[in-house]
Amino acid sequence: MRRFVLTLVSLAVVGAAGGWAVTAPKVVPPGALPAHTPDAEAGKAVFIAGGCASCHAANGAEGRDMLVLSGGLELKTPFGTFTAPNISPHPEAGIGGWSAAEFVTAMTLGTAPDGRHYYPAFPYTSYARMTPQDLMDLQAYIDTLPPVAERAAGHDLGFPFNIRRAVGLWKMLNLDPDWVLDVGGDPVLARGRALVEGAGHCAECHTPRDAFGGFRNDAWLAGGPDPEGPGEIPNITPHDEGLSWSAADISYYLETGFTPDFDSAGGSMVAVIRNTSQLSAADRDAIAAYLKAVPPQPGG
Amino acid sequence: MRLSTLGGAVMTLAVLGTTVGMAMAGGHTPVEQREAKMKAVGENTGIVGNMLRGKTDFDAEAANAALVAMREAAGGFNELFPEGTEGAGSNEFAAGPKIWSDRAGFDAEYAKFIGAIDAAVAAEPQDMAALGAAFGPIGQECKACHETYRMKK
Repeated sequence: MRRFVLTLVSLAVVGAAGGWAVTAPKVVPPGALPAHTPDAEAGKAVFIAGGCASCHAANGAEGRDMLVLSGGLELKTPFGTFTAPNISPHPEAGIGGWSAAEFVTAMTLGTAPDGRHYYPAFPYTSYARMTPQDLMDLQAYIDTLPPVAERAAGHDLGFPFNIRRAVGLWKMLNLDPDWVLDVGGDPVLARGRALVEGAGHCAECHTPRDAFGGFRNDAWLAGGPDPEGPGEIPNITPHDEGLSWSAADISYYLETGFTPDFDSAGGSMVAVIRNTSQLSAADRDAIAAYLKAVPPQPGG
Repeated sequence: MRLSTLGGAVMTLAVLGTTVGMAMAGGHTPVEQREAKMKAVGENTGIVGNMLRGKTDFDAEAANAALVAMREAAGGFNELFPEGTEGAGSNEFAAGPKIWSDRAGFDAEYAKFIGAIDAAVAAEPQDMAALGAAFGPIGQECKACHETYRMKK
């Protein structure tokens, strides 16, 4: 961690000295979007796959309240406390006033409409792999949800992490929308990859990170220490030391939260199961097929 | 007189020995007892779950017996968390800190769990659909409690 802090401090200094330009937030211009009529119903499926409510609904919300995206959930990390913002369709307190280009920019480039960088607690490194069409559908769905007039609290971060401009350097190193697994032309694996590497953002927890906070693609989904507290994030690659379950076992777990031994999911994974249980069976099977196809990694 | 005193002492020792022996059989610390109870709950969940998953044939008698056994094993579970036993035990998972920092929440979640098993036992499911409907709320409670009150070591 100390090494990471020092690295970030030195990067921030370098950034301030000579690299102000390279840290400039990037945007998707409106003309770059494809012609697409947004479909809110399709966007609901994207919303579930993306697990948006898990962070952006009020803490402890259940049932219908999961669709009230007031924000407020606190994510305690070594850098400080991040608070999930209000992403309800309220025009001032939420994201109701955003254009399609602003929404796609936020999701794929981590840049806010006012030009600031978002911190990568918002998993745009994964969402960057989503299609503009899916994102436009998602925005249309969020527009159908109840607006909330109160803003959520701001982040509470220590120096140097409170220098947003430095996130530009982090993005230069770590924001890479290329796919990790080559699936050839297999449509089921391609669907599983879109869900795991993209909307589902599984790697955000299940892939270990390097000293710069980027994914270690050489240990893709191999688990590691839990950044939120004690314990380990499980290795979910098909290795003896990882996930030795069958594809059917994985699908069943994503549907019910039960392991093959009928132990139940716990911790943060329960919120994930709340989402995956609402996916189609075909989508759960695609995730399972993908997880059986990634390179096996020891450890965990 | 002396003989009856001796006899009384022997009797007392014998009774004491039996009591200790019984306690030993169920595990003699609260941590061992709660782990044994959760293991039994898990085993009976497996009997029902494997039927619902289609891995074993549906058997109404066995399913109902498993629900009754699950209720028996779950009884008194929340009383086995004395101070100072956070994270204790030899399993991959253990009791998390919120059991003690939010005792009322833990007890409320436990009450919902017991309520779900009681309802399933009372329903006496006789076919797969009824078993699935009866078991669903129990499964939800497994996750609800493990989300907040269990930790990975």
